[in-house]
Amino acid sequence: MAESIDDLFCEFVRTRSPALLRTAYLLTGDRHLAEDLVQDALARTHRGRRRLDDPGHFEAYTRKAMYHQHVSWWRRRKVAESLPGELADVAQPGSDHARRTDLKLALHQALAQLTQRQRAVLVVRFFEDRSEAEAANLLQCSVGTIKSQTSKALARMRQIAPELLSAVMEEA
Amino acid sequence: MTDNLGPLRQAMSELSEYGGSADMYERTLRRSRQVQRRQVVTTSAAAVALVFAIGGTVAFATRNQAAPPMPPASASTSAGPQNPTCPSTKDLGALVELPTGWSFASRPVECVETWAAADVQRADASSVIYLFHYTAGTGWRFQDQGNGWDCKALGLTQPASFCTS
Repeated sequence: MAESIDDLFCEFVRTRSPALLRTAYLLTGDRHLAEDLVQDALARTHRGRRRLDDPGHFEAYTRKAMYHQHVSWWRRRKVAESLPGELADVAQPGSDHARRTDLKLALHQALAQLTQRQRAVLVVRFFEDRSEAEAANLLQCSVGTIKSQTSKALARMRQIAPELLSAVMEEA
Repeated sequence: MTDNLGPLRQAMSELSEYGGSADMYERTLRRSRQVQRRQVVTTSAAAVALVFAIGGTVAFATRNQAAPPMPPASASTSAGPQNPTCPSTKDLGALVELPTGWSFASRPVECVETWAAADVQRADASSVIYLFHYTAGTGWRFQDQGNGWDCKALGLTQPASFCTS
């Protein structure tokens, strides 16, 4: 028996929410903001679910909505650029776990100091592993913009968190 | 991957785990319905505002149409080409320049179809009739002066006191 569009949407939300929340966390740097962002994007998809002829489009539509919502949100809310430091990992000094925690903390703080668009570009390119063309489509800009924003974002990260990049290079 | 950003990818992947795994379904439905309700309210308010705006404009236009400005009493060309409004002696006085000592008599202007005749008092107390003709577009114009005319030649179908035949 064929599932209704509402059943398919419910299944999509239940299975894909964790992945969407992970992306949203990288974009916002805060768990509660991430949940709000995902909730708004999913609500938008829910309202447009009947227009999406294929349930397979739910995720693409939601992610696109999430990125756009993220940029407009930050414009509207004027949320402070410094993201709350809620990384509560406790690690033994000098251990590998401690080193990775330091790396995450540095990354968390560095991402907070990028512009929304730069952060989005890094997340799309290096977390979602999308090509430049896919990133351009998702963020609705040109491939040239993706290239320049990626370059600026990495340069800024080297500038504001040199230890992060050196750690990255060291590990590489 | 051929770039050297593998560790950055790894760090991002680990950092993203802090996003948690909350159940978003109920929240999503609540939010969606809330936005839908808000959209309905906004749309309704816009529709009501539009109706009031259109209604106000129509009412304003109707009120202005109900009391159109009255044409001046002396207007001579507004009643149609076949039966124009009869002019007053004052109107006719503006169309001709009477010789010194001459004046329009106090008797009302006689109008028949598109013709108007007015008695003019000469300086020697005798009188003469001034005849005016109305045509659409130009209005009343002085035609002739005399004591009577062949009304068939004027095209009149109705009797008039200034007709001799």
